[in-house]
Amino acid sequence: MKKYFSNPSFLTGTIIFASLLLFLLSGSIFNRCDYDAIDTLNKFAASSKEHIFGTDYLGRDVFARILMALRISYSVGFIVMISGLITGIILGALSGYFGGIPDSIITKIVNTQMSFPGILLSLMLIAVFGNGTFITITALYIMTIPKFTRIARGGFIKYKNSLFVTAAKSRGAGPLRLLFVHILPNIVPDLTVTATLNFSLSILSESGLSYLGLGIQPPLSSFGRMLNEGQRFILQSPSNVLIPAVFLILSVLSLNLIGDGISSVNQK
Amino acid sequence: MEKNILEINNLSIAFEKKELFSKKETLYAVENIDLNIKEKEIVALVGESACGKSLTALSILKLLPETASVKSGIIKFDSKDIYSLSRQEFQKLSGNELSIIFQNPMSCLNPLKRVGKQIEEAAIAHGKTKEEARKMALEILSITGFYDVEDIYKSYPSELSGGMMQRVLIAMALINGPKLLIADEPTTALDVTIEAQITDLILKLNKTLKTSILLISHSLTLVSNICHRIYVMYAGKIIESGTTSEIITNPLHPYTKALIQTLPDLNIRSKKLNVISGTVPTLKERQNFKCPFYDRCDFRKEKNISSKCKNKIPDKTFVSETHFVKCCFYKGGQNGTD
Repeated sequence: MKKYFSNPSFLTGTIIFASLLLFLLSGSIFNRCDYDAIDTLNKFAASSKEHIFGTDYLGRDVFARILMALRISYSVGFIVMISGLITGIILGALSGYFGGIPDSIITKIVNTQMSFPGILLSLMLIAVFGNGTFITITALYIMTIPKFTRIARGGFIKYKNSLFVTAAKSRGAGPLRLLFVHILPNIVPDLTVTATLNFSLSILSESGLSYLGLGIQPPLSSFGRMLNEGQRFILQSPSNVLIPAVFLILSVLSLNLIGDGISSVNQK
Repeated sequence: MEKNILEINNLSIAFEKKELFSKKETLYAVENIDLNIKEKEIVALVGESACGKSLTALSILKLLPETASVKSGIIKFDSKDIYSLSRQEFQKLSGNELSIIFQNPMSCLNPLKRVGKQIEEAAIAHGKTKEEARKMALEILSITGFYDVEDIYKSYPSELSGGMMQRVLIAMALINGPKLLIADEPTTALDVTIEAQITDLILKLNKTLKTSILLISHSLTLVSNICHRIYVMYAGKIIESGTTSEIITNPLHPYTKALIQTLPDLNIRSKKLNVISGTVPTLKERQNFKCPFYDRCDFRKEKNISSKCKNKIPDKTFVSETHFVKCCFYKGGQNGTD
């Protein structure tokens, strides 16, 4: 762990990410406003003791909405990352370790899916199944599977014929044990990098979809939705755009820095 | 008479190469070899690199690379044909009654797992509890010559030296007290002092644990020190076999003779060391002549005979009950032409 923290980008990334998490936690404890309480008499209010970040065009408290958006972004990103990771490992193990027909089927599907942009696929899914948080998560999840599968497959192929795996086989270890006890720990570094980068990508994609009005639906708040609503009144109240933008940038930047740091440490 | 623990009959292993739009090519790497090992016996398989020694060893454990397969023959371990066993049945054997030490210790250990955990694995996989396995691992570590067993148990492979890793591998192979241990060049990666330690260890284990050992090596010196019997392998075939003293004092095949002559002799100084000219023929070249040693055989070149050697598969000629040789020239007590 020490060598990771001596890497400047990993360190900055972790500090920003940790402070965002701390902000989310402490904010949720001290926040007294409701994120969807409308107060039209008090719209575009400036920062005050009651509304730290002011209010938006419907008089909703921006601070509460930012907290909600952070919570949603992180949970969407996290759920997508974990489920994508697990699916990727399973598919990668199937195709990389066992090879044969399953391998060619999986690789072909993965390659097909990688050949067109992920956002397009998400749009298609949303067009077919409708809006909503669950559909957004599913769409983003399907979008991330190919990357994890590829990384995992490569790792399993790299190690399946290595001597220590053969040695473990000669000691009577079954395929599952070989896969998950002997090979998997060796490809964890590669998977971690992909996972963190995917985390930030999912946050970004979720905001993008929400900005277009497709992802997270009102009354829930999301960075994309806040940006979309704020941009109409950007001259009246620039803070309504700037605040969610800053938080979105910080979230994505911190995760990218972490991923970058991990990969550069691993390459040494 | 003691029972055969391992019996190999007529084993052939081939690599198959298949390219798009071309016929499948079958190249034999091991051809029609017979080999048996009795209980408590140390048997050596000697030969140059690329002679198929390791491939033979891997085939006993069903660990052949994907491109190679057993084409014919029976491998019987403890009078069970291992290629007719199901995967589960074989998994019960391997690591338990049958185990192997691989060539290079540095790459045989999982770099991310503690050494002790890896040693235990075979015991746990064959039905021991964690505490039992731990106790067994510590015990086998002390048998293999470690003093600070607790520290070794907790260390990672990167913290050990080559000799220590090799001993860890031996410990790993021996934890379940196997009936047959296959040692595939266990000392190649080590220096001479460690080699001596490992040889002593192997001898000790053979005596105390009553393990039969198949020692694969290219070092005749090492083999003649510890083995009861020797099989000499060349280009995928066994060309001579006998007890150690028979092979060392009375080698009959030109290859065995040449191999023994390559050993440096301390009494003869300022003389060039003997070499066998040429290299082992490639898998493809081997198809051109029947006697595997045809193209490098000095004896044949001296006698200037080629048609017979090239076209006739040499017969197995028994010199004594234990000693046989496969050479077309061999007749009666001496090598000679007809």
